Amino acid sequence: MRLSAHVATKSVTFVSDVGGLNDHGYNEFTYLGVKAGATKDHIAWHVIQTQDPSQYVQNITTAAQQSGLVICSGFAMGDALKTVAARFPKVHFVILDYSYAPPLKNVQADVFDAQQSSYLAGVVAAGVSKTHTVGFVGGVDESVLQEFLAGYEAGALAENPKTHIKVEWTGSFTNEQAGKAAAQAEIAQGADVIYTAAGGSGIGGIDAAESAHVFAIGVDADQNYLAPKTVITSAVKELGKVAEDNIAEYVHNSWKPGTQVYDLANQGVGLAPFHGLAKAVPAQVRKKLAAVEKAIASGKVVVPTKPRFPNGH
Amino acid sequence: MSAEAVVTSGIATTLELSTPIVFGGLGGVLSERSGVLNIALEGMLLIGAFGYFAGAAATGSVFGGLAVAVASATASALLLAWLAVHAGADQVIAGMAVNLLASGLTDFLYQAIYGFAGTPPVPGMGAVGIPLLDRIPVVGASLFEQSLLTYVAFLAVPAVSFWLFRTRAGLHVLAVGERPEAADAAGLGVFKIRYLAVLASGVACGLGGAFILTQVNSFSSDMTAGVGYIALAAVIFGNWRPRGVLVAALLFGAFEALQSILQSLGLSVPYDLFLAVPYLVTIVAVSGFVGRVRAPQADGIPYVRN
Repeated sequence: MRLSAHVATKSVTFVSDVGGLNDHGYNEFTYLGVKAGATKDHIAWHVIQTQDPSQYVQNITTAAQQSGLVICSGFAMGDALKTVAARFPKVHFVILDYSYAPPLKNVQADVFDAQQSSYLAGVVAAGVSKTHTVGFVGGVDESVLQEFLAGYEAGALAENPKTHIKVEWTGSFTNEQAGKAAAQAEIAQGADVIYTAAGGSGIGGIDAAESAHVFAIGVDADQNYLAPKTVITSAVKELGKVAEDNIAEYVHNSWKPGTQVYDLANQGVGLAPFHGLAKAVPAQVRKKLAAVEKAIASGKVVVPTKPRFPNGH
Repeated sequence: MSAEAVVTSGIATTLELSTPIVFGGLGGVLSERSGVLNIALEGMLLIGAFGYFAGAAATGSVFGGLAVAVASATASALLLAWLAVHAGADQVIAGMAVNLLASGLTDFLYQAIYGFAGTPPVPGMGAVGIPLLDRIPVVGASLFEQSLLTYVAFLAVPAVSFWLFRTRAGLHVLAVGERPEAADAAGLGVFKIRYLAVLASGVACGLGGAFILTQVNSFSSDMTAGVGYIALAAVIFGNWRPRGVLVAALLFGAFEALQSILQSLGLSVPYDLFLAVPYLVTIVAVSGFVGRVRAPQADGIPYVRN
């Protein structure tokens, strides 16, 4: 047993969720942040990849045995992390998109106000839609993902109250064909902008939008590169920044447990640039976006976290 | 927006979702009719999908993608055949081993080869319209505007059916799957026939995997997402017959397309229940409530020559 090994030399271990390390989303951008942060602050870094949810406890335990800072990606690992954190009181743990009540003594829970960036996505969607019909393709219908829908529909209806919203859940974060089928059903009913919040499954939705020559809005990271003429913007979470912040605080002994909120005000969430599609976004929509962004950041506009129309509108 | 557009899109989506189930199901029928239980359809489809991606990315051609898809899925079938036929391993365990290997290996290769710079675009297979037929109102644009592989899958059903039940070689496969001792006594090479049948299931899964990949033209981890298990359900529900597989695949595909349409119409549907339909109807089928399904007698039993 080398219980004090991590006290002598600091290191960070990233435990990825299922879906692969280069998933164009959660795992990938947290991983890149861990790598960048560890390099900048000169500490060793390791990665443990999860293939199956049954490995969560084992992987987080292995990480805690080798590093003083353990970063876990994704809300699905919440329960497993709670179990392991109690066994390693001296290790610092970080989890994204999950929080504990009451907070745990050695865990920093980093949550994103995804409803805020989704609101901006909704403004863009309603602003560029010619059919006044916009689509949403979600992964699994649970509270973390309902926030995306809540913000999106609020934003779309604020931009144009006559907007119709189509809602689909694929039941998966890996099934690209299901994401494609969902988007196709929405496009058949007139949707000409599709916002995907479904991990790998959502990438199928972007592909359906590309084939049908309608717009898509990416999620988590700037996904424009997946289909440059289709992905008009993306509702991003600054996953890399969160990883880098945690590493810097850990290295400089200023790391704190508790819940940390990343939102528009601290630029933890936001919209990706329009890239080559800027011309498709009318000037007054862009003006409105800037104003709305300010209003949300200052707290003047509070974005709901529960969808008003869970089955569409 | 019109009802016609919804129907057209619904039929097209049904065919798209059915195609990989047809490929996987035909592979399952060929393998199991020879007496080798094939749990590995999921893994072989995933390897086929990755194979298409890697082949098409390296050669820049659809043909290169298809060639690598079929070759790599067939190689994984060879592993299953060796474990099941030669080594006499438990075929459920051998099949799961291939599935786990496929998931881990494709993840590993995907990261090792392509890293994090975003995946290279690979040439896909667009829809090919059949002249005249694709102009039929409503159904024309959905039935006859499909990927080449969809036509191949649906034409393969009668072809495999004819071959299996009407040709000498096909009947040899059936004999080996029902009564291997008798087949052996009659001079048939039980091992050889089983090997070839499992390899044929690899070819079918290679094409099915290539189809899944060309639906989206990008690879992602575990992207087959259980379609191989649904194909396995189609084999059982279809009573180990190609035509039965076709009916099951269309039924399962139609249910999934239907739940998409219902959701987008704004109806509150329990979508997860719809996604469980293939498994529910398979349970009903094997429980003997409607008609009877019967597995080949020697399905899953390694042949040991006395």
